[in-house]
Amino acid sequence: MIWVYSVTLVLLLGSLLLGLIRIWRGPRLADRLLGAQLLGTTGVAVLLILAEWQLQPAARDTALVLAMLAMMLAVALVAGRHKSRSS
Amino acid sequence: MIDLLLVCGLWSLALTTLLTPNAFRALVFFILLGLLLTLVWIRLDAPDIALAEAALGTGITGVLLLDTLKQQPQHALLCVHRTRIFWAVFSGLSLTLALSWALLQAPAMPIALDQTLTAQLDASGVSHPITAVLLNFRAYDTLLEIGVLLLALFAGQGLHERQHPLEQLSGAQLHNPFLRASLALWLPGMLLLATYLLWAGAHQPGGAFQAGAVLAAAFILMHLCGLALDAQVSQHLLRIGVLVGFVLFLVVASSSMLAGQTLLTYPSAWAGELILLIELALTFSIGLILFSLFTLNHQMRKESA
Repeated sequence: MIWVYSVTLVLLLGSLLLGLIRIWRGPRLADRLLGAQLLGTTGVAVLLILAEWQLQPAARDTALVLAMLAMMLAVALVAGRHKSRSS
Repeated sequence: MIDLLLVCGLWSLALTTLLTPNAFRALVFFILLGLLLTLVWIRLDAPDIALAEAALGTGITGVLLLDTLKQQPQHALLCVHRTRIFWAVFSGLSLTLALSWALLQAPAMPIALDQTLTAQLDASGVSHPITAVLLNFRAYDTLLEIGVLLLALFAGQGLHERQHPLEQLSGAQLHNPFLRASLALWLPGMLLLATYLLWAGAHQPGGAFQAGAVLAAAFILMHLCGLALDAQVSQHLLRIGVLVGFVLFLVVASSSMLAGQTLLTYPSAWAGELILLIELALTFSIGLILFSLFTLNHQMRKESA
């Protein structure tokens, strides 16, 4: 079973790398933001894999927290944009 | 293998965050650093810290930094000074040296603390060892920690002396479909998650600080979506909410002195209930304190604009 986890982890790390490249290159704020969101989702997946691998059920709670709060950045950005446009 | 990747990732992310000239890019990389740290804490089998890092790093620090960034002129470029990098490297290296020296000098533990803890765990009223240490055996530290948080808030309010005329509930933001949807979708989930973390703290990783951070994120979400909490309820109520955790903790801690015992001794029959009560008040207060720190920053921005 271990090899399934390893292969999945490698794939997820590839996704992390792609997100990093997108954040590095930009060019717009929205691109960077979506890259960060992708990495948040990937982080949730990695945490879930680690929970199985290390028999650490609390990692699932951490994944839940991350999934809940990862969108805060997007909300903060949109809220600021909206306010500055309306005023 | 994965540990090596994590360490390399931490190093390169930290360096990129420090060296990149684009402020928004640095911010996103800093948040990713927190994400990677969460993974590292899980690898090190420290899920309590991982939970706190996930909640504070993604929910609060990132939003706070983004909010600060918005008060800078558009496309702010950070100037990277060479001397600053030199000092950062210098202090980092000296900290590493001091820590490794301390590690080498560590005396042999006279008492096996972990065994003492396991033996005494039944008397603490909770079954998760970290909660037992934080709220029973070493509750003094936790009491001082919430005191420090309060001090930080008072200092912030002192800097920002003038009280703002309260804005009425504008609701203008609610016309934005994205904000409305995220409020409707995530707010109930966040409140539920905070309650769950608080309740879980008694027997598994979780507890007042993590739950308080999630609660603060929920308040910030409401604020960003246009439901300003400080316009909805009176300032006095907010102040009572900020203080209730510390006051309740202090009352419970000192009431044992009436019976002639030392500070912070719980009657062992109600220890579990008392700890839950204190944690409930602490969660509420921590959430409000972190949220108030966020709104202070927000108000200052408005003033300078």
